[in-house]
Amino acid sequence: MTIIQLPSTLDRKAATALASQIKLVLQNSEELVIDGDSVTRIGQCGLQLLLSAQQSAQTGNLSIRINASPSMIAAVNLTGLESTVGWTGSRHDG
Amino acid sequence: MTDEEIQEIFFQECEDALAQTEEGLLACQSGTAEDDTINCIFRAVHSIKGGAGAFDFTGLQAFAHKFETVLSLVRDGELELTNDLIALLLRAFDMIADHIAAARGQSPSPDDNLLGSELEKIAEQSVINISKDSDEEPLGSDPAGTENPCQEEKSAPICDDIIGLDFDLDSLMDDLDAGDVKLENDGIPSGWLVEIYPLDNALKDGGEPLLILRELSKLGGVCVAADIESLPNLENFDADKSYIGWSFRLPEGVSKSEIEDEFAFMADDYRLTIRSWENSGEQSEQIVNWPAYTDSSPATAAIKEATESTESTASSTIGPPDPQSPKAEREKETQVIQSAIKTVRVDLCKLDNLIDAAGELMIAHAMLAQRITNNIPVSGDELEALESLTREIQDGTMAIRAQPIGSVFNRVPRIIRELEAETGKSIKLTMDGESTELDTTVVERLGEPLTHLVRNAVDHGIEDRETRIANGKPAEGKLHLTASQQSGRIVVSLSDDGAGINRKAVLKKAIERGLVLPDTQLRNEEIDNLILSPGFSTVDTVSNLSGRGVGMDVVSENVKNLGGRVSIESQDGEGCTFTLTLPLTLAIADGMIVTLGDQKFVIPLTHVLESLQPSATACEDVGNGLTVLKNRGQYIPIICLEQAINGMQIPDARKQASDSVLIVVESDRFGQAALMVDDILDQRQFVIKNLETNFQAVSCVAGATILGDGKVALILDVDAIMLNTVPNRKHMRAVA
Repeated sequence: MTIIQLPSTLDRKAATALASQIKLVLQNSEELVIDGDSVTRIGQCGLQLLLSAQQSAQTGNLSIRINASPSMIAAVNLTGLESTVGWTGSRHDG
Repeated sequence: MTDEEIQEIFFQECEDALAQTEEGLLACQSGTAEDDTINCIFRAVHSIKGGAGAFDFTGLQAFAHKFETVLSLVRDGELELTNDLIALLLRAFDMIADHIAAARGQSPSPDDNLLGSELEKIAEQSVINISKDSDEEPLGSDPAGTENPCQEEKSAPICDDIIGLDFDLDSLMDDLDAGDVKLENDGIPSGWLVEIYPLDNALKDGGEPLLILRELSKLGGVCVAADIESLPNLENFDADKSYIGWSFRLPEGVSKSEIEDEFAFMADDYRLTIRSWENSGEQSEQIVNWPAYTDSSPATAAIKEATESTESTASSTIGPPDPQSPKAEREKETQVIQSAIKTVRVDLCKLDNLIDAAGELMIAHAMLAQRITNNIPVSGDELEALESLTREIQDGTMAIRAQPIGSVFNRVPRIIRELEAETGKSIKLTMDGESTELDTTVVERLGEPLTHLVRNAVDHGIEDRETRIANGKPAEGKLHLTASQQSGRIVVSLSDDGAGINRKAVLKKAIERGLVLPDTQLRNEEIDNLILSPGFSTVDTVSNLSGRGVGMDVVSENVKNLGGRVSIESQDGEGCTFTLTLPLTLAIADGMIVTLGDQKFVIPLTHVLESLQPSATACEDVGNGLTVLKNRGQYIPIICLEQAINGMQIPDARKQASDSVLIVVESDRFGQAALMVDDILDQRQFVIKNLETNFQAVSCVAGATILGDGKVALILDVDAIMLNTVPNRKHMRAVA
């Protein structure tokens, strides 16, 4: 299992760096835990990345868990994505 | 482009917005406001708020929000623009300027609690009045009397929105930590369906679409759908691209323009449609039911593909485009903004003129080249035409760097307002010549001396109300600030109708400070100029004078550094005028080319009073190696340049003053002196090259220039030469 710790600010710059990292883990068919516990700011790029990661994992039948911070939950609430992502807050989901 | 560069652009736009805001508010104050003035002010403040949010300047954003709330109430006719309110808005303007300065790191964060509360109170009071009215005719009611079933539901959110009672700005500022953002579909009245598709550009340059979504949420909007259809798998994921779109529902109480305003700052970065919610009522169920994550196990979490295309949904629900398309209006507005930015930086006309002249120059060059190739002699007319074109290009280049002095003058009303509040004096400020243009560097560096002058004039020049009345003057003091171009130089003058300079007190203080010897007879102008002397002014000094003091040496020094001069005209009991004479540019100056041995030097013309060939009797040796020139009844020290400039040796230079040509120069700090040179060659404009950049700093040399024969000539620093040669003013006065 690989754990990727998200930075406190998940913006475009961070998303660019994380995209290749997450892609690599998924390519190796590893179980992935994305720990967003320390995320205090997340923008559209960050949301897109995590959604895309979830989508990719689903396509490849891979396991991905996302631990969402309150900021991340607030962001998905704001953007109407709460039911789409299924994040449940500060715990390691499923 | 780096974040810092983007931020700098924001600050430059803030300056434009501030200027626009102040101009508008002053127009309101003077009764010259037009119909669109308040709207312009609102847009300017809104732009500041938008940018502040993007760059996380939370204090600035929060205050701008309070400011614009009041402005929106005025704009919508819900708040009367009284003189008191204008005064409050001007204070709010000053505060927002302070916030911007703090964001730039130029000053500490201002305390806006009191003023912010005042703005909120005004807004709240306005809403209470509206609510009272709404008891009789509820908000949102159809003026034509058409029944509206959502009427009651609408009232509460509308009022909440106007007064911002439900907004915890601080928490909203804390980026996406907005735990209080709720998705409540129930109870939302009919209103607007807003579809937002951030384009790729919206993510660049610090852009963050989610901040705009949050602004919509503040307006009472909720997200009813998110379109993730175009979101790719990680294989094709590009963090620079925007893949998501949203549909937001906003209450009817929010006006269309308010929604558009949220996008005004970056309108071109979004694909936006705003439609009446009622028109999309049939499809609302479909819109709300966007694909949802249904698997409860995130380990196998899947993003379901969108069941419907947003485009098709939009097209099926929306119908024909609104002819009054907000997109078109936005585009128009964006064009205006972009155009303003261009003209603020460099007027396109100036660039066009320069390009035209450069084209002409190319043609002239080709003609000359052809003549030379064919061995046809070049005529004088052609050379003249070439010279004319060169000058035109030179002027054009200078014009690009020129900007109106109004950007500095615009600071003055605020200074006056602050001084009025501090001193209790009442000042009427008039200004002329704000459109006078001069080099941007000069404009930037003029701010500080002008501020000093204004503060001195109000603080110490203009008497207090009681004294003025006792002296038969109007209680309100007058201050007149002008700028004009005269003989290739810019003349800025500040006149007040105060008490004038108390010369007796100035002279007494100058003697006490050792600036002049006791019993020295000085003309009025010389006494007035003493206040410009370094070391003359202190706070203590000012309190003993009826006139001026603090910072006047700073004024003199700054203006001198700009290649300018300060002159003073004072009339007892009638007032005082300070005149700053400044060069149009710092890149080119007028100078006198002189020779010393086999070397050529340039003396800046701003210092030159006259040149003369002295008779043997006009020069007297007074001992200590000092020779003086008796000129027009005055003795002035003669300076041998070879001795003055350390390390310079010019064997062929003339050693006797009586054999030399003397250039009488004047410095604000050191008075007059005569520079010994061999000959005068010419007097012309020269291009100043920075010696420090190209070589290294050299004492007594201000820079260098390249002469027509291609040789380098040093530009003399007259002040430094006099400082080296004439240790202090007291010495000179002793000679006098």
